[in-house]
Amino acid sequence: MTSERHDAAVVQAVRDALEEVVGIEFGDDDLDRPLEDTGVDSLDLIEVVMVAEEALDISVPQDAFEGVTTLRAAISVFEIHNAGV
Amino acid sequence: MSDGRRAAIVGVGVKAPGGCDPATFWQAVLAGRGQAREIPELADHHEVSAASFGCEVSDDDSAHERYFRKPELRRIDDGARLGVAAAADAMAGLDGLVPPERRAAVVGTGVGGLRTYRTQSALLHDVGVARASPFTVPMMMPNSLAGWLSLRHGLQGPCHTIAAACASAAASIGEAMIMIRDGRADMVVAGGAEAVMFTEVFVAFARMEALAKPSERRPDEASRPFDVDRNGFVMGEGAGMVVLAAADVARAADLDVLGWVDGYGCSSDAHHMAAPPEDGAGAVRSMIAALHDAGLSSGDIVHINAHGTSTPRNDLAESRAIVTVFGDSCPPVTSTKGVTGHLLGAGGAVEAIAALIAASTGIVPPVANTETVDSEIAIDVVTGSPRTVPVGPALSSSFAFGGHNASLVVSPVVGGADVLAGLQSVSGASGPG
Repeated sequence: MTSERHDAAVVQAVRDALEEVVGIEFGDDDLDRPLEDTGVDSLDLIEVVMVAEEALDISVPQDAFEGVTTLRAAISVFEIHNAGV
Repeated sequence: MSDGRRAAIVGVGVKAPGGCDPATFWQAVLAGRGQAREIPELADHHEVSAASFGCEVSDDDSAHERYFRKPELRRIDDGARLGVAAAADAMAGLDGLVPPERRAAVVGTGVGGLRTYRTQSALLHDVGVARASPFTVPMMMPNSLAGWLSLRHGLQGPCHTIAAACASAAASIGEAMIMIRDGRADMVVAGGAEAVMFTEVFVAFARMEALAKPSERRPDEASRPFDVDRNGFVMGEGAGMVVLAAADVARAADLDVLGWVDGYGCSSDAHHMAAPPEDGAGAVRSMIAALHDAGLSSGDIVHINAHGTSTPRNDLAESRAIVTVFGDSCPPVTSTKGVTGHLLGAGGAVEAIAALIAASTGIVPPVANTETVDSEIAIDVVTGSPRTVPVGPALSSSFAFGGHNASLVVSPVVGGADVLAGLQSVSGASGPG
């Protein structure tokens, strides 16, 4: 299962944020789909990041998510910043 | 204008102090039940000379899942939420009846999403940029509700927002009527929404000495339009929406016509930013323009739903204006603000709906709380209990800071649909689209 390679806390935080902010649940099959195909637009992503940051109690510079086009990429950005906490 | 472009009211929605559907709201208005309650947050400001209460929406159901998916509620200000919910009720069964590009909206607000600005400002300063919502602008902008309505109901025609302070909603319905008459749209969602009952707005109005002052009276007795003991308005929140359709369109679609918007007049005082001229000259021009637009004389009006804010200045100036327009044959006058408080940018729509029901049923509600009409006010104010009048056209007026005035003539459908039955059938029947 592809999500097992990721930090479980980060995955859960992003999963919860997506449900709260956009109202969608994502599965492992969605991790590599283009965000726009999952119904998440660029403003949604900013709010998802905001809510996930709050849950993880970390702060990630907004420009760290530039070029992020998949949930897996977003999760990876969080993991990089979460590791330093 | 051909009769086919007459503006029919084919849907109504209310989220207001007194009720969240038109029939419940009407019962509260008829009973003269003042809706003001203490609001603890407002009690922190004793240094301003104002009483710490207001009129919240009764049994507010606007966040229910039949109106919004849960995530959507993060992205809408309180006022727009009330407006979207009221419009959903009003549009029940009407979506898709005319082509998208022939659907429109004209909706009013005094200040738009001010609570969003307040919340986001606090987050920015207290926590930092990273917690500021990316949806701040679409939530805060005054045209947020118009945008929501366009999205929700597929309105691809003109979607305008009118900011004329407390005349916003009445002017919106009037401009929507013109839009129907001119053929720019076949169906228009029109009304107003406002929800700004929090400290900053309260203090701002209190500093103008516009709000009701502390007294021995209970909060629900403080809004008393035209009463000798009135001492300021009581703030309220809410939304009122109507759906107007061209008569030909309503007929072709076999819609129940609940009434008509037959006249609209507006004017400006060019006198003072926050006070009417003592003779209510701007109000006179507004009312006369509405009567003229409807092709009626003052003697045709069976009932007036006045602006009647419970402020000393408005009520006196308005009464003089009514005397100027109607002379000795003043029809019975009510103000529903005794029940609802002052809904600011939503008031004109909620009051036009009350006027429509009164016009259609021939029952004029009493002004809640008003016991002794000010001796300087020489109009026929309905007090104590409802008054029976002939079924016929009613005048509903709204006057605003900035010196803006708007008056509407609403007419019943004589021998047509039972307006209350029609209104009862619309409540809460529509979901998120």
